[in-house]
Amino acid sequence: MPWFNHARVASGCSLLARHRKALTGLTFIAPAAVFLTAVMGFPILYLLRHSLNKENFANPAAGATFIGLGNYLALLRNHEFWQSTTTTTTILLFAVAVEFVLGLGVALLLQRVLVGRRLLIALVLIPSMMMPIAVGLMWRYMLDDGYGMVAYYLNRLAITGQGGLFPGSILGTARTALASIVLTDVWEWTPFMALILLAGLQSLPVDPYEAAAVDGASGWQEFWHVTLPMLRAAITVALLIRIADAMRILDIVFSMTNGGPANATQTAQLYSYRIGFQQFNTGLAFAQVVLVASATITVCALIFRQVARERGAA
Amino acid sequence: MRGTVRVTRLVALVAVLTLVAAACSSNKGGGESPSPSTGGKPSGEITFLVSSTPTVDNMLKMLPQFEQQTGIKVNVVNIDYDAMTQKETLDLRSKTGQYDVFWVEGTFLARYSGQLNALEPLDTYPQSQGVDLGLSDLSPALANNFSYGGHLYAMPFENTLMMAAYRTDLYQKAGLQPPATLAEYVSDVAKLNSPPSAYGTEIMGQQGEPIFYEWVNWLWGDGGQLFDSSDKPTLDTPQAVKATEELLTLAKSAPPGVANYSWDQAATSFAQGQVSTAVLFSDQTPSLLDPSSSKVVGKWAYTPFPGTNDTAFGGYAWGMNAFSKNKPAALAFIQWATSAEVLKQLVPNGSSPPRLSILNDPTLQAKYPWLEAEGEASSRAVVPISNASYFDLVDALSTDLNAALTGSKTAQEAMSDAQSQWEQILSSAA
Repeated sequence: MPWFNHARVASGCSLLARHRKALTGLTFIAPAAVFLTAVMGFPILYLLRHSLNKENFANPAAGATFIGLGNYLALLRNHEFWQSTTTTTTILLFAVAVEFVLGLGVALLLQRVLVGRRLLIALVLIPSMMMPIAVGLMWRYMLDDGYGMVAYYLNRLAITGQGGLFPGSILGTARTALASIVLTDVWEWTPFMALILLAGLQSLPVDPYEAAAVDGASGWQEFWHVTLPMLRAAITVALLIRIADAMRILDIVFSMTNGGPANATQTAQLYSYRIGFQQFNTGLAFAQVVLVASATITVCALIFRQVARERGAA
Repeated sequence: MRGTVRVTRLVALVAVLTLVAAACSSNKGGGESPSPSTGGKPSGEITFLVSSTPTVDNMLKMLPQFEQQTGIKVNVVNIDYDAMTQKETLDLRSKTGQYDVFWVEGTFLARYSGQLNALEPLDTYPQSQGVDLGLSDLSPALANNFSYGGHLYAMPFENTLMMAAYRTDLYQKAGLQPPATLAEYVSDVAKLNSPPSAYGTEIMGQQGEPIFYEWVNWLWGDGGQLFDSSDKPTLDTPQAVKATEELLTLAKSAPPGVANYSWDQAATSFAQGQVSTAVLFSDQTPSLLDPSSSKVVGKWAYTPFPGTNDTAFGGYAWGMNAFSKNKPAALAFIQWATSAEVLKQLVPNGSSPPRLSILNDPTLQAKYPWLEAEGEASSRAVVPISNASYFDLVDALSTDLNAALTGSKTAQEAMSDAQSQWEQILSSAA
């Protein structure tokens, strides 16, 4: 009896040969994967571990007490936590929706520009290149009721101000303060959305459009039935990036309203910042971060799943 | 061949590790830095953590003089205020001594000295070393604001007081005298309110420290306190509700948008001639004096916050890290930066000097009129909260005050909510 099984070895070699490509790829990315796991894995584990403690970074004498899910329960029972979550969700839904619609419009327009497109893209991208904190400060002063340029015209158009559609101070009233945050975010990130969608548009094949033209499709029909379906991948990427970003919005809120008036614009991230870096209640702050991150991952996973389903159905 | 390769690799590894260890080691004082108690001329380098203000910026311009006189190199880390306070806490907590000298406020002492025990007491030096920080030139109230547990932990640099700024031309035109009581102030504001050209006053209404500092003066003016004698919060008292209602009354004579005003916006609003009176932090004086940004140069004056009650103190000082690796040099820098000679040179640009010899100098008072009022206010300026939970407490109270200002809560509701929040914060911190 041979000491090794020819058939088994042969089948093993065949398996390796079939998966050689995958194994080669894995070998190349292995060092980076190990590095990233170490660099990201340790902080995540540290975060999870300390979110189960009651501890204050600025009070080492008090030590750290293991309280299990105590921080999570405290957050879930906290009105401020739910308020900040609602605020973040509101900003996310409105801002990302408007950015998508406007960004797609800008991308479609840019695609038609044949001369000077690169220069135009560079100019359009300026808001996205600015530091968010600078954007927030700029809009805060432009929306100042006393001497802000934008506030002046909004008052003249009777949109805000005394007798306007939305009376009261722009950044001092909850509704208009939140709308200001959304509009500032839209101003800053629509160009970024447009850039991703433009890249997607430029990679679309020409044949379906020729076929649509032959079939006598109108502009709208072409857009709805040809462009949008083919652009699905780029739309998914753009939405995912913006959703993940919008869920972490902090700079604009911090510089424009500092979470006011009366926490009306306090986002989840700002709330985490307050707990973690002003109060130094690290256990609670870590728990807050875990909850926000979990929500972000869940939303992104749902989007991926939906896209995968649609692709499978197609 | 293999053996040679191995030895080469080993030598290279040892060399790299040696270089890394040398790079990571700190060498600020040129080897073992002498402790202040053993004497020795200060030398070497220190790192100074600070946030930009007009007075700080002017002091930093004078730094080459100090470096030339002493040979001590000062590495300045000048960053945003919030980032600065976070870095301070991180450094003190980790005991690395990365920053030798840094910005300290009275409200920080409970955390830095009480909890972290990471500030070097400065009042022991004059006794043991003959170092003269000029402590007798500080008012007892001011020295007390930077003391904790009986020791002075920071040398005052900017004596930031809350002053009532008023337009001298508008007051004269209306035949009014500077307000001496709260009632007079409220009455003056109503009389001078003529929107939209000039509102009666402004409010630092932004959630956070601005509205807290604005409001606490009114609380004290109405006879209220933040805590009782056994350190229990007293926010749901009639005095606290009255103070909040007074703020809401003043807001009716203020520009729209004050609910989002921080101290710099409040000063800008006054400097632009938008309001006739304002309660400002005195470190905003430079913006009122600068003709390129102020429309009220020569048309304004300070008076102490009306009444005889305590007023909120927001000044800052330079503290020394207890884990500093070059304490002699750090002490020498603090001594220089807070000396009467240096502080006097900062006055023309609108600084609020902490030294009595400068505040009470008649020649300087004649030349810089705001000094006299500041000198008078200095004696009753106190740190409002000296508790390690300062930021939590201010956060909670300011949210309720801002809610009252924006109309989403009544004054009574705001104070009741703030009271219960403070009780919760203090009981969980205990």
